[in-house]
Amino acid sequence: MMQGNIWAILDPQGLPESMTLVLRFQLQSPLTSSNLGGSFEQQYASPSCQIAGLKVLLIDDDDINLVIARKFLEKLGCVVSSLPSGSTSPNSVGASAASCQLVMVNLEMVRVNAFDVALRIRQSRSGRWPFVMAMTSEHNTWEKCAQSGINGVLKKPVILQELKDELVRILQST
Amino acid sequence: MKKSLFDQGYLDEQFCQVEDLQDEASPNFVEEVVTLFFKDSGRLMSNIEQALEKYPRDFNRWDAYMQQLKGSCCSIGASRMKNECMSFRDSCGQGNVEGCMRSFQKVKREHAVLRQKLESYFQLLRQAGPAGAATRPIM
Repeated sequence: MMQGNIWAILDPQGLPESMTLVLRFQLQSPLTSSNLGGSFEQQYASPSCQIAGLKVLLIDDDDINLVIARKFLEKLGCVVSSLPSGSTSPNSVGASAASCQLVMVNLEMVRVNAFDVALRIRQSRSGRWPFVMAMTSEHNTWEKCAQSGINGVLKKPVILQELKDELVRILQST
Repeated sequence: MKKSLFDQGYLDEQFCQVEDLQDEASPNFVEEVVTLFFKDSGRLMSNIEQALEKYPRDFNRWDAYMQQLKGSCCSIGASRMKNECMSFRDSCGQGNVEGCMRSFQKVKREHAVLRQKLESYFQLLRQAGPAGAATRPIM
């Protein structure tokens, strides 16, 4: 009736280690499975369901990048908003970021330090959201990104499949 | 014509990524992005030109501007232009003023050529109409 699925993962002793309930809703929440810890393959919830409806905030000072990244995300079913350029004060970033599930930030912005922004988001975060994903054309930025609380890195220029793969990876790594 | 743009290196695979984004909801997406690109890049290039004059040997400033331009080129697949941007940045890194000046002229030239070629390309597409779209099924 609700087109859902429920199952329990048993540990070696045969005791339930975690339970998952998956329900298919139409619009809003992309993630409807609740993990109680433990790691297991989410074979039943298709990655596209997780991405569709995801609320994403784009932070970039390049108009071209913004337009293209927005379109990529919308193609994947995300709901995209972006900060008006110049308004990356701690308050406005925190407020905008708080209402979304993923923040995508360009590491090579001119007037804005993306790592600062990422740190601010991490500090003002309560709970799981939002994730932060960085876009960069530099190599070897993983460590610095991880230190700033960035959850994923995309090489520029952004390619749809890589974006999708990285989104899935971030969403599945609790 | 599109094939020659790729064969001659004016455009790379990233342009195809952008084209793939075009759909019924945004049927002119590619042309809109390209128009935006030329508007933005024109502005960036005049900033660079001014900086070259007003701030001699300010390689950091020059490089920062060029990094922006290179980023845009990259995003739409403007391959030759991107390469010239990278040469410019190399020259900045080496503190080579002559090299920067030379590279910048090349960037300007590639910019002009690409604009011309893409304008012709879109004109052809308009004439061909939706049925005449060559290699890509969705236009």
